[in-house]
Amino acid sequence: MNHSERPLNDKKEENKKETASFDLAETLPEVNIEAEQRDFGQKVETLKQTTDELESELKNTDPSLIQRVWEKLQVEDYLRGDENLMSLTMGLSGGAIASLTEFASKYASQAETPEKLLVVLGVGIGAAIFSKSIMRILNLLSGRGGKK
Amino acid sequence: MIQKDEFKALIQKILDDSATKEEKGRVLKELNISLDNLNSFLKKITQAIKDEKAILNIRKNLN
Repeated sequence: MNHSERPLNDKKEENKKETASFDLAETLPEVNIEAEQRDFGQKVETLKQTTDELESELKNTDPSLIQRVWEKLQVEDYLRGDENLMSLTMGLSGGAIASLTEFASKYASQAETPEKLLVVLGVGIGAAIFSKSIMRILNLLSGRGGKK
Repeated sequence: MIQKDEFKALIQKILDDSATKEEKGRVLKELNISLDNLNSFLKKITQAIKDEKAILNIRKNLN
């Protein structure tokens, strides 16, 4: 046995120990709700800024130009998609979000009024995020409204 | 990604106060992913409007 073998074996043992503790951690996942909530707060702030920028860009913009963008980006498909917040919030029973989603779907099918669609996008989505339903859930998540 | 029905069920559990810590974390994580998607999409719209305006200006200047 040369000198280089022993450290290698020791290392293997160490790795085994590390793997064992890692596996244990995997079976008992720790969810950092506080970190997720902080993240959520930051993302909402970013979204507010993005919405402000979009709104200012929309001011005095020709509706036909908005229409072109609307079609090009397939906004309607996005609103109906499964991977976005509007779609996910449809699962909530909150009247505000349900109405907003209905409003969005209604106008999403009326391509002749693109400026209204963008009101839904720009202002409506922001309103949805701050709606009572979302706030209620966040309160429950933070433990202020729940037992766990 | 979490499925819509599963998300609905998790939301209901949270509202019923029967969700575990892990389930609450999953919902928050999902909301964060959705916010990212939404933010990217709104940025894309903003940029597309800017681009369309720039194209229109170039055309005007050419005429």
